[in-house]
Amino acid sequence: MRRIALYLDEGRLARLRGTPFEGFVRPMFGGGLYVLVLELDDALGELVLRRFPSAGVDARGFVEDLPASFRRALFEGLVARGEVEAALERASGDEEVPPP
Amino acid sequence: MIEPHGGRLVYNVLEGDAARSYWELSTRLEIKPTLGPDGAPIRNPYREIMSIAYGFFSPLEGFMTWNEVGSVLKERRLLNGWLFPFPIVFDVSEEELKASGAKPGDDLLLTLRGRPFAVLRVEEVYKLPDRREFADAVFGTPERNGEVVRRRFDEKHPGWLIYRSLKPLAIAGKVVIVNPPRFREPYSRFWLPPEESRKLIEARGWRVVVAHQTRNVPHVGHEVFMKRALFVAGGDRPGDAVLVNAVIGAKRLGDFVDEAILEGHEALALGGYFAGGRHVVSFVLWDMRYGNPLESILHGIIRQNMGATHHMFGRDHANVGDFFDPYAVHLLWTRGLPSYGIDKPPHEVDKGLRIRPVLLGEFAYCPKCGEWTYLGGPGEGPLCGHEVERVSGSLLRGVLLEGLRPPSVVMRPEVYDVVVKWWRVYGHPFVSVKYLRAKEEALEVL
Repeated sequence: MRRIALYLDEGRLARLRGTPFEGFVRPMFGGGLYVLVLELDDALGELVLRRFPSAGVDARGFVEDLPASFRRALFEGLVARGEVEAALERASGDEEVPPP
Repeated sequence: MIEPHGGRLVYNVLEGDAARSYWELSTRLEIKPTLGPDGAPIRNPYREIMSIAYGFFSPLEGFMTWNEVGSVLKERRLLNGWLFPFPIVFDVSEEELKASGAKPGDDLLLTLRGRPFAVLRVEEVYKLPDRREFADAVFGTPERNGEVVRRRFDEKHPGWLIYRSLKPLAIAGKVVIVNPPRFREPYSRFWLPPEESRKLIEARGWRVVVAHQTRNVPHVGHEVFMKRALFVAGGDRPGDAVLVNAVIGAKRLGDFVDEAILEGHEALALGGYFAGGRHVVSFVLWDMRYGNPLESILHGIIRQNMGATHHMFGRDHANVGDFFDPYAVHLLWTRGLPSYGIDKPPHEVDKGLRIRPVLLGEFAYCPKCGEWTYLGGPGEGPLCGHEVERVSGSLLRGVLLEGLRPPSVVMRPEVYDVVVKWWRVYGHPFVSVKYLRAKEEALEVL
């Protein structure tokens, strides 16, 4: 089992309301930040790792060092369609990441 | 004032006419970076020359002879007996050696981007052994160093890869900088070589100065770590100052950019999180070997030479991956590592270090207590009885990459603003391929 942690502020949390993922969100640091832990089955986990060779897995099974474009597309994919696979297709490398 | 390692601070830097007289030497060689398997620079010897010549590595005066390398590998000591953890070698190819014409007894002018930089007084030219075996000898193996090495080193370990990638020959001898380079901004603001840092410490009358090694933009956990170390080192009163010393060198994808590391730490003082100038930010040029316990000895040497009396060592100090035990550094500084030829802690052996360790475990945030708490060392729990939250590098990377402002209990807003400032410059909050390319072309110096 692989896991991906997606981090949320109040704005992103509001966008997840009403989706199947809302119940899996938990607060961090006294509510200043929220995290959604996605659990991927083995096949999907391997697909993610193959797609992003620079990514690794930490001791707790979390996939690390994923490109920002994937992380952001993943969130949008969850909000729109509740699925992970589509985000994989839309993600690319991170030569540039727009600053906030 | 604590004495330098070896008793005398090295300062091999010449300026003026004496320096210029070397600029026309015909025996010369352009300094080139060590390249990894993909052709990316993983080390630049100019950084070692700077650190030797300005005294960060005192009492080391130059690149090691083969005898000295042997002594370091056997018992981590220079030929004069002083503790030193790594072989420091100037490697060249056969073609480079031939083109330079260098031979023992010569003064070899080393150029940096075509300009005179330093003179290497050639003492010996020798052939390096099989570099894979050499790299294993530097870092150890699970069989030989089972007390701390958890698995065999390979290309995934950046320090092992540096030694594995050296060219086949080495030139040994004392180095003297004959054309001191000027640092770019913001590096110039933080350049505090040992002679200068000692003057600063003396002028301020500081007696307890705690060194903090960093290669990260500070989060609040780092700040708590530094403040706690001040209390531990100071005894019944807080220590006088924290000397933050960032290691600036070859970067890896996903690291924080060097400029943000320096200015991020500076933001802690500017933001008032440390008062009265007692938080000094500086750097040393060194391509990290990630040698964990071995690296901690070098860090101790560097910061003792800078005048620090104590050095903070936490979990996984200068570590990468799972090659070393997470508390290998604590083992070294409490019992020694006999398999590396160090029978007692580095500050208790003859010709060892004078700087004293401040050994700390982990810190984490407790949402119920609403504050940072100390987790202690291996097997220990938090001081409170609640579930705590760790701030890992991967959490911070995730938060920043998703465009979120970290909560102020995790990262001070002033520090986050620095991250965003350099994000705008380089188009990415962390080291990217574009940053690597720009850094190696520009280096830190003009």
